Amino acid sequence: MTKFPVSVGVKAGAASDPAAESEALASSALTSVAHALTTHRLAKKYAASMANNGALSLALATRLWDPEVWSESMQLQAAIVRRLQLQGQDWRTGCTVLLQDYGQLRQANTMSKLLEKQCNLSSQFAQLLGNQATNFVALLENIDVDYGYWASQKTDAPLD
Amino acid sequence: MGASAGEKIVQLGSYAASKRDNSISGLSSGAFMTVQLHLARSASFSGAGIIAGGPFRCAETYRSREVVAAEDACIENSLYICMSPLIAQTSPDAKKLAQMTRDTAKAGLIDDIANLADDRLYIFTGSRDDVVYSDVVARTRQFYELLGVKPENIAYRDDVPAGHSIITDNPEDSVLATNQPPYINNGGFMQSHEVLGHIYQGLKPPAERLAGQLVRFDQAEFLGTDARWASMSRFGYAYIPSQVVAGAVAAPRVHIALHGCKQGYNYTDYVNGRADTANRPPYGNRYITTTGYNQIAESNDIIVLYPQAEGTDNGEVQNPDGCWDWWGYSSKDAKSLFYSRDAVQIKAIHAMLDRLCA
Repeated sequence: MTKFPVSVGVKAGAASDPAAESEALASSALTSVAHALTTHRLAKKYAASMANNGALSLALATRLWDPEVWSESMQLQAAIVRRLQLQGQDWRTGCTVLLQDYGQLRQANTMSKLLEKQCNLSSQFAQLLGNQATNFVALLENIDVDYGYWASQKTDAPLD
Repeated sequence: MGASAGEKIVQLGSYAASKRDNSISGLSSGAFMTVQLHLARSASFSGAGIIAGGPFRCAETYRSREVVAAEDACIENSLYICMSPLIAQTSPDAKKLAQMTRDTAKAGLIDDIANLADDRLYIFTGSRDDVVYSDVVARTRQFYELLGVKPENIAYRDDVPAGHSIITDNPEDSVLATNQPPYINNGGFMQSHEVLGHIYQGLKPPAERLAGQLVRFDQAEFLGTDARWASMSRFGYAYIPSQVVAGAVAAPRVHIALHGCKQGYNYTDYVNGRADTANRPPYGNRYITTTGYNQIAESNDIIVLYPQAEGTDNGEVQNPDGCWDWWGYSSKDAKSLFYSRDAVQIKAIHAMLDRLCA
């Protein structure tokens, strides 16, 4: 274990920098405002995107008789289900590995080793959860972009 | 210095190399950059090897809403259309991109498309690749055909059950279907030999041992004031075959080998969003020393240039994985668009080639 929560390149025993510490504290309030603005901008972007995709879906409704459009929309849905299945598979694999590691805890010889192993397991579980959440949101973005792109191609195509 | 990078940092030398019969190849972001560099400076190249890469300017495929900034749209396109489209119909539109490429050439931002006519291309996608899906790479082939490359000059392979990787026959490399760093998988053959063997037909078999020089040079002199936007490492590498070192080869050819994301010599992994600088870089020079380029270069007197990108993640440049720029992070102004002849990275790499050719 290092003395710091993550490997950040800080050497144990390195001299503290009071100027950097006060600068970091002073800038944290401004940074919070900037983060709130970014969240607002992204939320606005996705709301606009959903509205745009909704409009495209309405325009596409007139083409549902087209077998090509129908077939491709089915393929899109099947692809989404496949990606969800893969994410589920990753979750199960990750949990299995962690459970196996949990079984090894009893082999610790010292209290510090036991604590280190428990902390490692907690961090790894948090990371697994984080990865699952990130991948799920990435899939939602993937669907948003790909559906908009696909639907715009279909609605732009001339009617037969 | 023998066949390994010694202690010294040298200045990249001049070998009066060929000004036309050069080539380029790369994996992943290196493959996307291969396409960009090949098109931007097509007068300098006679072939390219694209391993898991998409067509030129594919990050600009789709922008539906003005509310989405062009920069955000490029990133969304690169992730969800150029890398992991849900179905073939949501992969890049080759026809549209071919037209955009012709327009870019007409605007004088890249070399004349006519230079591509006789070029030879090796295009590869692993059937188990879940980083850059095969649907995307299929569009790259279609894109080049639309630009006039003869179908018989394109070697297209999608029959190997490989994950996202450059393939080697090294026992210590990852299992073939793996989709994880360092993206160097063992498939029982050296893909670099296939790439060069297709581009330059009739090559001699790879050398058993390397008698040339692997040199380390400072890339800074090729970046100048652009260094701030370039996301390129301090050092680049080049393999100079023994006969070229001895001055026994007239106009040797140059092959540029571009690594993919997380493969630069000084790539540092990010742990919970923070560069793990407390530990050693995990992959180092593996792309340069173990992918087989140097062996086939030695027996055929081909200089291999290995430019290096590095991770940068600050307010100006967002490239934590050390990828080559194919979505616009290095566009410092309107004149240096990331795909153009004046793009920061393209200009620097071509300046290295110019040095070898001088």
